[in-house]
Amino acid sequence: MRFIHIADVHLGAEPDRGYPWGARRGREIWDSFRSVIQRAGEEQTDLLLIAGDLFHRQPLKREIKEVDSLLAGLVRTKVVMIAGNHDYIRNDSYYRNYEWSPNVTFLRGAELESVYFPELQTEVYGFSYHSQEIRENLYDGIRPQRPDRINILLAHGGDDNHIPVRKDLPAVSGFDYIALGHIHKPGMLASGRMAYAGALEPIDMNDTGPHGYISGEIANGQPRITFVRAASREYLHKEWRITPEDTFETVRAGIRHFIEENSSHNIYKIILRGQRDPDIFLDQEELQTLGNIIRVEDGTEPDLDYEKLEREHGDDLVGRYIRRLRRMPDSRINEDALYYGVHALLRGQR
Amino acid sequence: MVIQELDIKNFGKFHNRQIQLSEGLNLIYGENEAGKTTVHTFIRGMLFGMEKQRGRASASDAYRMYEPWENPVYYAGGMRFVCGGKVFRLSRSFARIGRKTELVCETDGEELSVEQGDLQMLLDGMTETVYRNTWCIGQHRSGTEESLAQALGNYMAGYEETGDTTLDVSEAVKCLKENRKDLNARKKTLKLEWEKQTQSQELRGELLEEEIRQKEKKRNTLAAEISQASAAMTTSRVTSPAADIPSDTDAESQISHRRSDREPDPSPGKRFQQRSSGASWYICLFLILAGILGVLFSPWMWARIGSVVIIAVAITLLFIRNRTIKDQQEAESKKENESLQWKKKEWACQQLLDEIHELKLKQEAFALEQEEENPTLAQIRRLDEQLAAVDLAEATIRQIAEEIHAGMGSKLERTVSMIFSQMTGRKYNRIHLDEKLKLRIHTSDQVLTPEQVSRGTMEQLYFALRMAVGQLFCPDTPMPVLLDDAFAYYDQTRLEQTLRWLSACPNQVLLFTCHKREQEILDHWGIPYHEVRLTDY
Repeated sequence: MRFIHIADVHLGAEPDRGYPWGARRGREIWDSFRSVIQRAGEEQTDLLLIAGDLFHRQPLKREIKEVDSLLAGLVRTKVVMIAGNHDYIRNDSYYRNYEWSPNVTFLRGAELESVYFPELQTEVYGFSYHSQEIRENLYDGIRPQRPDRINILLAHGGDDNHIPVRKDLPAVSGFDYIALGHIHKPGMLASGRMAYAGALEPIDMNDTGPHGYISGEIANGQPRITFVRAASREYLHKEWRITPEDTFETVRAGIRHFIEENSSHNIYKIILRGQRDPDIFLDQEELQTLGNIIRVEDGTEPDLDYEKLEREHGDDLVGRYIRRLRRMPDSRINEDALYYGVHALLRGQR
Repeated sequence: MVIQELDIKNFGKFHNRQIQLSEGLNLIYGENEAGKTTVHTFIRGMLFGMEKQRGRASASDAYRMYEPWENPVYYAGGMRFVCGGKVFRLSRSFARIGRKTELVCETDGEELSVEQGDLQMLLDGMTETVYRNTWCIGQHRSGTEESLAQALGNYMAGYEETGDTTLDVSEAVKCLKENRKDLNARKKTLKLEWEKQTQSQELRGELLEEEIRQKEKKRNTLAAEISQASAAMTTSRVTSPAADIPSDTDAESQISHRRSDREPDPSPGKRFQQRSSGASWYICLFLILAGILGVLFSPWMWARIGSVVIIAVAITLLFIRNRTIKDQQEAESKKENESLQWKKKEWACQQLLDEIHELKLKQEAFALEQEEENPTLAQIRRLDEQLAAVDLAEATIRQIAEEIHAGMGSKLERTVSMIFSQMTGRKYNRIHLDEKLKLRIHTSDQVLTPEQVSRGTMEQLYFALRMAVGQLFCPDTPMPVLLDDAFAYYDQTRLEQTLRWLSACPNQVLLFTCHKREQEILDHWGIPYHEVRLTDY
């Protein structure tokens, strides 16, 4: 039995809104979703599992209709899905009354439900979120009814406020495969019997690394899964180390080169580290124009050996200044003041 | 440091002259023009070198002044001195051609290099300028009392303890001001950006609100109309029960009920009308035919007239019938139109409901967005932090400078006060600078301003100040004090006091004078000294 497992698609989200590349991100999410469905159709997948948070927020009626029409186009594939904490089934949610196409099963209840596909000998269990948070470990006590079938649990959760999930759940519960959603970073647990598909497209600048879906098959009760990269872009965090020999120009050129090498399509967060020449100024706003850079953090320190300076200057203005500032409690402001003061005083000396 | 011997090979009017000096007080006596100034210029030249000035300055610089009268090419001399327990021999050749300087330690034979600053190191970093302003006291300065006091005040206020590095507080503050200006400029740009962003956010919010309001208004109007219509239809129909003011969904469902009533089941009245319209058509036709027959075939006149009348009646009836049928048809089509319109209105109502829901969802999403951390705001906060840091730096620098000044000032004050007090036989026991940096002189029971003491006292104070500064400058290697006719204007008492002090001070003192007074006083009080008579050689 061959299946595709996706989760956290977050249709309707508009990541990086306000940034120059932000306009396309929302559409890219829809495009990725469409391509997965297309894949399922081409490969004649048996089962498409959607482990919650298909939508980023309460879905609009027309959005549900769009999704349904996409899924209805699948000839062979059966689709099972649940609602997650983002698209939870509220009183006024359109999820409540919507009649999906025949090949789509939406496990709508707040309590455990299941659907059995005799031609696949597979039963899929799951339930939907009817509130934004669920603190109880609701998955711990669930057991499949018929062990002779292929039993899959479709689940959404994994942190303190959203159904904590224990690491050995497959062994404890007896499910052949547990398809998880909620954590945006894909990952396999319990030797491949449980996995987070991760967000199909990264939604937030901290969703670094490859994103996509899980493709797998279950034979003889054993699941074999692989992760398939399918996102149109990635978020990359780059720590950029500088030395006192660097100037703003060298940093700029270096970062530009790095972006070109790693695809200007991706989105970057640059963290500057190291010792910088105290005279140069790293213009963060300027650096952000080098590409799809969502943030620049300056973690550099000016290359001033305060201890040495203190010793050299002894009891004069510079020496006393350094001593006094260093005695002050640790804080960003005091650190900066130490730098500004010493820099200004040494400038006066030359 | 103590100078033991001067070896003037060729300098000014001197040629091959050796002068022996001892530690302690040396009295160097020479009539006017004997060469006193030459000798101590020589000493300064040996210690610090003689640079020939260029251009206009060269007309009166020391180099030219002391170029030897005879044989100017050979312009040289030597000096032996003791420093730090070792004996050194220094020789210089000042001439432009063949300039040479040698420094050798006679105690351990080490050859040192003046170019590399070994001499200066021995002198504890002393430069000529500083020397001239401290230990080297020439002829008495001319100037008014005020300027003397002011000079003293300025000197003390501007005095810095560390010799070489002049740390300029004002330079540092200027640099910080630049930093601040730059940070503020960036903050301003970001703030404008932030305002633009908030404005556009607010606008979006407003637009959404407005759209929602408009749509709700429309919907409410429609719903009202629908409920009115349903009420009206209720009263015009016998079968359906009357309805109260319905809610949106109720009105719609009621209307659709009535619609379904209407179509498959036309009212009995209508059926009758349908049938009767068919019937009346035949009746009229029959009457007309009968009339025509009557007209044609009736023998009697009145029968013919009667037939014509019948035809007329029949035609009229036909007209009336057509009219009523038309009216009926119009009424029906009007009713159909109306029902179609209501259908449309209901549909529009439902549509509006959907749209309103969608907009409300958008509002929710919008509200969520606004809660997120705005990067521009974060950047502005960071700039504020940095500005606070610059302020802190400036305040701290000023504070420390103040403390140093106060500290140093007091050290200098103490030293000057001590020397001055000693020199004046404790008549004045303290001097200090007040907060306006004006000089104040204390006796045991009064505080005086410089105007209130005599010129002579001021001169002594000046002397004390220079001594004090010199002491503070190089506490480790006391330099020889060079006095070139410094006491010409001192009165007897003052001279006595000063000489006493000089004999007690740890520095070697080279007192150049053309008077006999000093010698007399020293002899009178039994103060030991070494005598050098320039004219003897």
